[in-house]
Amino acid sequence: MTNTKQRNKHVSISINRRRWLKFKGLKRGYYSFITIVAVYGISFLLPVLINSKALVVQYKGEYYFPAILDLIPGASSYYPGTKFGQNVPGEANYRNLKKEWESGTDNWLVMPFYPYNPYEDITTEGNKMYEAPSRNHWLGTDNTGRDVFARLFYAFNISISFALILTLINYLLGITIGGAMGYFGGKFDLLTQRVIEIWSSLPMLFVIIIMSSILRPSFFLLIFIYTMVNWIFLTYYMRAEFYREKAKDYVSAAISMGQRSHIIIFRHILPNSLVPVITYFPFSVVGGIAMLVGLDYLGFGLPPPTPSWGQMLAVGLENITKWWMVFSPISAQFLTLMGIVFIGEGIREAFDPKVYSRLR
Amino acid sequence: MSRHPVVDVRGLKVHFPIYGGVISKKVGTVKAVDGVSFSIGKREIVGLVGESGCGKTTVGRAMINILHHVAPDVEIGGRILYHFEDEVVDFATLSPRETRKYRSRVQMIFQDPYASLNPRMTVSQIVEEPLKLHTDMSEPDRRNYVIDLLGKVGLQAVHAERFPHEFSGGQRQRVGIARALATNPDLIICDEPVSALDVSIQAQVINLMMDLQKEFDVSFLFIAHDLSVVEHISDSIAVMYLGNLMEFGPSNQVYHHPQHPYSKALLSAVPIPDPNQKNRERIVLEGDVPTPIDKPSGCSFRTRCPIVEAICSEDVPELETHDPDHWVACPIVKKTNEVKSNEIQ
Repeated sequence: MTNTKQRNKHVSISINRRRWLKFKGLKRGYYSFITIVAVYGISFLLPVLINSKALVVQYKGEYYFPAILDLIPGASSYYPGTKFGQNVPGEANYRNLKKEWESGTDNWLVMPFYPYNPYEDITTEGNKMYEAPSRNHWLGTDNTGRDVFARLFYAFNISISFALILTLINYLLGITIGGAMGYFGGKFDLLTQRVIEIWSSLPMLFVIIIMSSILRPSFFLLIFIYTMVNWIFLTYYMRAEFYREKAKDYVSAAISMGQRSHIIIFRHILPNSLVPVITYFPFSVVGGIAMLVGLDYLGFGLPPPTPSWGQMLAVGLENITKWWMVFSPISAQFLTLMGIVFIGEGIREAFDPKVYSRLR
Repeated sequence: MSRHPVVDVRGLKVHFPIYGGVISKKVGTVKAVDGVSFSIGKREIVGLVGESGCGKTTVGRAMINILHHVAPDVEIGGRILYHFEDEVVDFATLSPRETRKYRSRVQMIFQDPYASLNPRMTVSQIVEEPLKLHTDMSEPDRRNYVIDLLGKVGLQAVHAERFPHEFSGGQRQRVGIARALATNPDLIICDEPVSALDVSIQAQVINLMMDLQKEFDVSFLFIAHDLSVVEHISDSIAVMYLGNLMEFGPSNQVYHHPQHPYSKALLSAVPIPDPNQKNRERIVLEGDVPTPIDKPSGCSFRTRCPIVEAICSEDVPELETHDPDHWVACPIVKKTNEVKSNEIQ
């Protein structure tokens, strides 16, 4: 009954909206999408969830918010222990402070949900190397006494951010250059294609290794180096798409009505050539994560104290008997990459014009 | 041709170079259009007919100057002169910026209604686009105009917000017609606008186009391979074969008294729904159309012509007046006519 009613009321839906509805219907991909996006969103709040600094400190009538200051870029959350009457060198140890204040003081503090941070090593009081998983350290500690659980989550945020930024820059370059090659064709296409061929024949892994051993690698330097290699693959797709689309009559119609080139490129052709771009996006993110893990594993990636799955994996393999140090990064990578691949699979199927193209 | 022309095509040649070999040097040319001259008067409908591959569409695309876009190295010769109000415009001599200004004067209706509408735009966006470019109408004015235009091509206001994939082929072609009419052009090039449609829809769309032609005071170049369609709609018919015009004249004359042997053969192939005429003469041409890469010398039709003679291979025959306004490019026809007129004298 409601069905017929809906049919009578005609609602026009664009192709993209229809694809989104189809994607929503593919439960595995859709739930993976929600989970990954939610976890990634939450991971920006990690300083208030997983941190050794207190959320709120009330000391002698005054309030301090060290963990929340960590969320604000540029703000300093450093308070020396002496500020809270604690006799430690350097920064206050809030976990100890909490124990000290439990009995009979007006001072109090609230710790985050998981009171360890990824940079605390054996130099911090009370931390030990190779601690097995326990109620305190859910996934144990690593070779320098850092909490594995905390590092795992911070590394998740860094990995996904890295892969997303990398993919977006690659896409921007690849779409612009590939699209221009396809649209303008002729000599421009010929020359650019030759340059790309020469460029892509450089042994890029070695270039990356050499560059990151000369320069001190940082997050953005690594993105820059990877982008130099990775923007190429998208130009192939975009060039071919633009060649195909520009020969269609709707483009001829746009030209014959006197439309300007950039509007034809961005408003007419681009929206019709995004299918390979969008379907490839999740896999490109997977590639970015895997690349970062690989370089970190080899030691050419992000500088040491940064939490990273590749570095954790490398340490874990050196200490293979401490199972939690191998198991944790591998599971984290496995779950993340699998989730993203599920998203990719869902998107691919949502964009597939054939209805029954999946083996069931 | 003594009418007031909207467009004057003089000796149009469109050659596509072919590259081959190791170093990609030019090894030949496809002579898609090889010297075509005709003109279209104000409010006139000229039908351009010929079998597939003879260069009809290329003529149309050359006239709206979009060949360079897909084939950057195409060689175009001859001139296409547009007479807009008091200006004479040749797109080939203008800069791209100046060309865009005159684009609204000549529009095109495309053959494939599925490819000619951007699938990501709604109907109102599609029809609105030329208005945005060439008029300074306000947003609500444009909307009203679009709805008005959709009404004129037989669509309803509710269709405006729909996407092309929600329409049938005939409806899509109506959207294409509305888009072409939006800027009120002087000339519309209709590139086989009905050949992709059902026969029952063809008649509707053709009648619609004829009504709109009168209403909008526009000239049509109607490209088709279906002669009965062309005869129904056109004032003049141009018959094309392998890149050359064979015959050009008033629709009645060409249809009922074709002079050129190719036109005769073409017309004898038109099915006539009349069993009494089943014994009419049917001219069956022998052989195949030669390739436009290696055209025969002289008259391009001579390899299949039933009345071929030695002089046919000498020069490419020019279009010459047979009757006033009726032009034929055939040395044999010319010769017979001369003999006839001498006898009368």
